[in-house]
Amino acid sequence: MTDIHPIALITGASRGIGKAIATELAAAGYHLVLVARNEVLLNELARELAALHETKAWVFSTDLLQPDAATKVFTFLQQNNVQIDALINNAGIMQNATLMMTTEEMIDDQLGINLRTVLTMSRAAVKHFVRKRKGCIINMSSIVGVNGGIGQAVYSATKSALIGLTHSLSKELGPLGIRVNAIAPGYMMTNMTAQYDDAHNEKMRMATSLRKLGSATDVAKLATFLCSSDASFITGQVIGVDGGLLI
Amino acid sequence: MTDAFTDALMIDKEQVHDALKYQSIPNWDSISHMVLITNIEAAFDISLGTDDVIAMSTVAIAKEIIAKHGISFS
Repeated sequence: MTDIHPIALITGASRGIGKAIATELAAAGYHLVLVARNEVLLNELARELAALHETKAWVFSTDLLQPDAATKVFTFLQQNNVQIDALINNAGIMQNATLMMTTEEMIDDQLGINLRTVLTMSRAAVKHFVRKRKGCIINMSSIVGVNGGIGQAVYSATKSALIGLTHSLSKELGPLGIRVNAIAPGYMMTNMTAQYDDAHNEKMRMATSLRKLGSATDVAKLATFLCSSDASFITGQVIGVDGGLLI
Repeated sequence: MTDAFTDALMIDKEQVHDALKYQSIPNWDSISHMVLITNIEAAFDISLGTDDVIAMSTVAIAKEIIAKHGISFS
């Protein structure tokens, strides 16, 4: 595969921000590896992008909570002779609860998906990038990873951890031409925030400098830029896409 | 095998001997170790697990690890 069609792997690609990133990258000429649990949604997206942009997409459905999920994904890539150019660690779950109301399962699940999977997927992807002395990793952090949020002790801890990971990996992998950045979305209208009612959405809109709520596409456009050669001197950064939200 | 080391560590082939040890010379650091691993994987068409990546601390051990994948050194 040539750089005419670089290949990006996106976790959590079946919906929300992951799906939007897949759509934007496809429009920019990328071929894609789409990873998520829901194979039906992934196949639908793959067909849609193939029709729109002639995108080649490899679909791999897996539960990223499984400890060997990353190994399975990268074995699949090896079997299909796919070398990726970018990894978008997007998959994540948010389970709001005050710490006293947080169960062991909620801790394990959020740490597992939001942090452990990012570590194992990045470790596997690095081999692809080292061979080329080039590559791009984007970690999906969050505004609450920077500022915290009530009822989000575990979620915010995992998203803060991604910021530390981004800074460390950018230093570790920079000499090999591999860039690592994080995106910190604010309050976006996605499936993750669908649990909130209109009154909450309005409160968040008014807390935003631009007086509007963001969309998954707003995040996807930044991800596409960070993957591109236009961002070739950008690494170790945590970039907010939040409309100036104050929390 | 020797080429994988000379390319990754940017050293002469005369410097590649069984006793050569990770971090015993400035050129075999944690960064070049990553390059070495991918060079060996490419040269022998094998995939090394994390345990092997960590264990590969000398040229001799590298040979032992590669041999586990059915490759022999005469």
